[in-house]
Amino acid sequence: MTKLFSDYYSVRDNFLTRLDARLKLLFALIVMGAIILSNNPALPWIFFFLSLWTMFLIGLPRRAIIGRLSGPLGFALVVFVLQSFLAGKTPLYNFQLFGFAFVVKSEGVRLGIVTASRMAGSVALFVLLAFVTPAHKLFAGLRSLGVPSLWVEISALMYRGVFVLLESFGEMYNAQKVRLGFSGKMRGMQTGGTLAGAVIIRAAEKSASTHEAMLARGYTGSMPYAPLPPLGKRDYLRYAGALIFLSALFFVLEIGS
Amino acid sequence: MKRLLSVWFLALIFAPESAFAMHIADGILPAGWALFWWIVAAPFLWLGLARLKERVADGGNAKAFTGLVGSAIFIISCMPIPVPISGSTSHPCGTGIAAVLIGPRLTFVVASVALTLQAIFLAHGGFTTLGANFFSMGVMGGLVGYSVFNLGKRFGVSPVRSAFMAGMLSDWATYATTSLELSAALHGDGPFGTMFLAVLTAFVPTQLPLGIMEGFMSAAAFKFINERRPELFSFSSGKTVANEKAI
Repeated sequence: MTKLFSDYYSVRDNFLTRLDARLKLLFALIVMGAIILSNNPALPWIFFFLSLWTMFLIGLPRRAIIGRLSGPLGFALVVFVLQSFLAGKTPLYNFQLFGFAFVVKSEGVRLGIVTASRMAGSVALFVLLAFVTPAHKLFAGLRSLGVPSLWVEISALMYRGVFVLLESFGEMYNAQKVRLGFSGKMRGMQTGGTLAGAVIIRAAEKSASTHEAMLARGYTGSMPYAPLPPLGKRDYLRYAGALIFLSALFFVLEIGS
Repeated sequence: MKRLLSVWFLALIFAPESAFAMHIADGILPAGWALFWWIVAAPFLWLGLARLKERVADGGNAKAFTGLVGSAIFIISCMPIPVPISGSTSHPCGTGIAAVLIGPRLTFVVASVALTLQAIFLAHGGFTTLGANFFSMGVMGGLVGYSVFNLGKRFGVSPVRSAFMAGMLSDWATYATTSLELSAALHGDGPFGTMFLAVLTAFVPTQLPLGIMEGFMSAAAFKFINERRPELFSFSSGKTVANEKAI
């Protein structure tokens, strides 16, 4: 989890990691909005394949891409099937399975395709964003978009805290495992609970030392953030180009058709 | 009846996948529903941040404590748990024990951050669906967990048993709310009730045992902390637990 969750891939140097985090975040949110507003499955699929292609282009490992996308895509398939059977009224196809009657409905199939496409497009886009933007830049980007600084500060603390505690968690988990702490359902649950309690106590202890360290560094109640670098002409041009591309696609696929 | 049985059958086929539906992914909710849940959830997040501001103003290490306990809850909520009936693995919500430990309003803040981190870095959940996921896990999970724990204590139930009930019921409340959110958005022209039943049934094989397991885990965690550092539980009632003992 550490590798998938960390900035392991986003600190690599490529044309996307060099782009300004604010603009990447804002553009991703606008595309996401366009995707969930779209009724034509083509728009989400274009962004799905564009994101996938970009991930391969910048050399992300296949395993990492599949690891992140497989779950949501599997669930997209489930949603498609559920909607095909349960949404709409016009029967498209009937069949029997183990004595149960199933009716596929045409409106349901259409709705299912649209929903599954939206899921695929938006998930791939956000996975790409996370792969090319380090966490601290994402937090700075969120702040610049007006997210309350207190929330961003807690997010940064929690994000950092996960790595601090994950090591202790792993050590305790392995120690419990080799002592057969998870050999059986009831014992496993009790061991899991003890592990949870121990991690919480470790977190409380760490919080004190973290607070002390923050005070020693001149902390006065809110975390100072370095000002983000000003956006250059090139940034604005790239952003305008991306927006024109998106608007043209949206117009052709949604409004024009 | 036959129709209901086929819905039930269909839902059971997809039960193993339902573990992944714990947080609604981007794209499932249409724009209107996504916006609706953001609007419903926003006041709770505001309440949570206001509470955090109060605690920070009181002095002590409330911010670091909330952040790091939030990290611990996040790690706990990522623990894979094998679910016996469906054969899949799922993970606990963690909001029940979080609410007992830091109170419901700070649980709102911690849950909102945990959901954002999961959405961005693990592709679990989503950004447009954050309002819906936050309402089901953070708000419903947190409020149910806290209320059940305190009601249990008030009616003379032992704190460990109350923690068990808090963990179990907060998990079930999260899934019941998620089912409602999903079926409201997905039923299209079809009946809402049938879709709700299908989604709820798909959750039952994983979430019914998972809720019980989360209850046991919460009870064991509560017992462990209560025996070693009982003063940590005073944080939820507004006391500062900072700068004493090892903290």
